[in-house]
Amino acid sequence: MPGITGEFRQIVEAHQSRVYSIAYRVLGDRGTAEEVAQDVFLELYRAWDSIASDEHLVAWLRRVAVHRATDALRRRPRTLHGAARFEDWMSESPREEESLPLASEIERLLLALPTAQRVVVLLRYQEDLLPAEIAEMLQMPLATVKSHLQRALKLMRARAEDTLKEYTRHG
Amino acid sequence: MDEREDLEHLLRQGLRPRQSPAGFTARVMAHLPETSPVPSFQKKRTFWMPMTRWAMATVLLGIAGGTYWQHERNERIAGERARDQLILALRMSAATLNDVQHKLLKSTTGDSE
Repeated sequence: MPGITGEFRQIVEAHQSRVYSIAYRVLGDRGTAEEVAQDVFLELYRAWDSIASDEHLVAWLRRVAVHRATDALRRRPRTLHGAARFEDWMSESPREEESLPLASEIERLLLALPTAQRVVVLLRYQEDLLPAEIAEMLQMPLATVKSHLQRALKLMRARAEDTLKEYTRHG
Repeated sequence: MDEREDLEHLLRQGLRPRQSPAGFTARVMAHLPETSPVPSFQKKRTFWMPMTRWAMATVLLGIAGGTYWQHERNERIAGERARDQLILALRMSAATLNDVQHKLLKSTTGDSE
């Protein structure tokens, strides 16, 4: 059915950055992030008839990307996803040439957060969702989402105070 | 802007969606299963799709034509049988009549002699 395949290709092209970014920023690993992002789109293809609208599509992609990425993280215990190994990761992880320095720094700080905080920060600042929307999506109490956000910001600020100050100063 | 707002602003800037790896779409499309999913509303309408309609109409016409032909054939055979029986009956009657007439003629001739 070329019609559906053509339409599906357009959807992949339109939403791949969002899905890949979620996967990458949860996992911190490009290869696994791409695998997860591909799986998300293949799952979308199978669930195609359940998608009712564009808004539903975006919400579906966000939700499934977050869940599949956190699943992959659980299956890979050696992946850095705990604050305790932040310093190790900082010294090992190479800078990505194509990323802006600010984006790289923010991603480093994000990846050092505990998974739940990382996901909440990602949904708040990459996806621009309100805390209530995050709570609904993750089926988490609103107070917990707000608490994760506050703790995450505090941790990030504490860990990268100098770097962030420098960026703030130079605009 | 206070310190928190600074940080939030930086986070929004730093967490813009990343570009996915080159060739991502092609790789996804290459993994699609052979059979395409059909939206449920299309599944419900499958019967009314033109090809299905024509195929169904052809089959129904075939069945109707076959039944009609069989009916005509049975009627023709029955008619032929009835006609044959009638001819036979007529022949038998004619033979019987001839026989009776012959006997009558014979007896009449005998009496006069």
